[in-house]
Amino acid sequence: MSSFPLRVFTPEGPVVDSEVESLVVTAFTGSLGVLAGHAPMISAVVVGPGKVVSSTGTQWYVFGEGTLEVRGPDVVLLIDFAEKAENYEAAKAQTAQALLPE
Amino acid sequence: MPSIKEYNRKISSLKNTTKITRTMKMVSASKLRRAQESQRKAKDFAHEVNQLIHRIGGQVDSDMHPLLQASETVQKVLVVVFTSDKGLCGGFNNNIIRHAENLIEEHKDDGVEYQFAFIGRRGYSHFQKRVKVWKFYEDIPSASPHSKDASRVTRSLEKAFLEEGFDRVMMLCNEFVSPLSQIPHLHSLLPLDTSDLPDEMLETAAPDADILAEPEMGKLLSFLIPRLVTFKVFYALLENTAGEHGARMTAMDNATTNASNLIEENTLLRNRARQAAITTELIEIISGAEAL
Repeated sequence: MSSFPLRVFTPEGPVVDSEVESLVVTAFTGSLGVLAGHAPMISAVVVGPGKVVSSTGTQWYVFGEGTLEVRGPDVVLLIDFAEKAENYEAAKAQTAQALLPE
Repeated sequence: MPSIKEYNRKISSLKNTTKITRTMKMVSASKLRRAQESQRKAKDFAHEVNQLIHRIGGQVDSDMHPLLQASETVQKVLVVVFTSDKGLCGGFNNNIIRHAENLIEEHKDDGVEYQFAFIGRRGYSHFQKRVKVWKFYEDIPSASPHSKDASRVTRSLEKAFLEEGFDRVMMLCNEFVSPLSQIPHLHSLLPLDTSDLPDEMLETAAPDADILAEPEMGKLLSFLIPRLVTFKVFYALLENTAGEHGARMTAMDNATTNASNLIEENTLLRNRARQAAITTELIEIISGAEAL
């Protein structure tokens, strides 16, 4: 499968900076997937589960609020935080925790 | 005069103290390095956000987002006070506390309502019963903050600003100048000052016209601007962390030096006491021999 360079930035530093095959984030209107060769796009990202698929395997995350930008071949995700999760269920649980009111 | 045994006990306890303080100093030094590294990474993030804002909308204007809009009269102010959770870091927390007390004193009579939020146990336990506490962010580790913590704090501060009628949100935290010196500084957080956002490294690319945007560009900005607030909060948290470790490093270095001096002093006194004991014994023997 063809791949594209993905960079995920948080205030804690880059979380992902590698070639990946697909990316799924929770966008403003629901789940949003990006594959190689996607049209240029900017989208808002809300707190929710996300997935990064690369040749080495699939990694689930909880992504914080921010934006997703597809610019040429580069995909840049600028978010508040990114936390690794075991699987989709765990990611959903961690999302709920992240959204707990103060 | 204390006996030789007492001196020995004192010296060995001082030696243990230096072991502890020297270790604490080394631990703080390594944590400080990590905190400074995080600060650098946070700056990279802010740079990326600024660049994206620039690409989308060019200049940021104050009417773009409610977080940028200042109210005309300031009546209610929220001050977020950053301190550490743990002590043994010299004047680090005391400086902040003194600064906050001066602030309260200065604004006692001008009719502005001041409320306080606390990050770090030290500040909270001092002010708990002295000022109006709006919130204490209990579970934020002052020694190793996570950007998720900053995101949570930002959300609640935004709510305070937009919904609970606070006209200003300020942050009182130690500015990290060097491991030897941290200066308490009062920053304004909300309304977000747009002149705070210049970035000299911006690329001047024209915004792309045929780019897909979801939601539309204007709304996207309202998603990006709070990122800058998060960054500012996170940066303050990191500055606080770096300051805490720096202050502790300095304090522990001083403690080690002081303890070493005391050891030297006490060793001298012990030797003197030993010499005195030997002399007394000799006199006793000699005078005993003479008497025969």
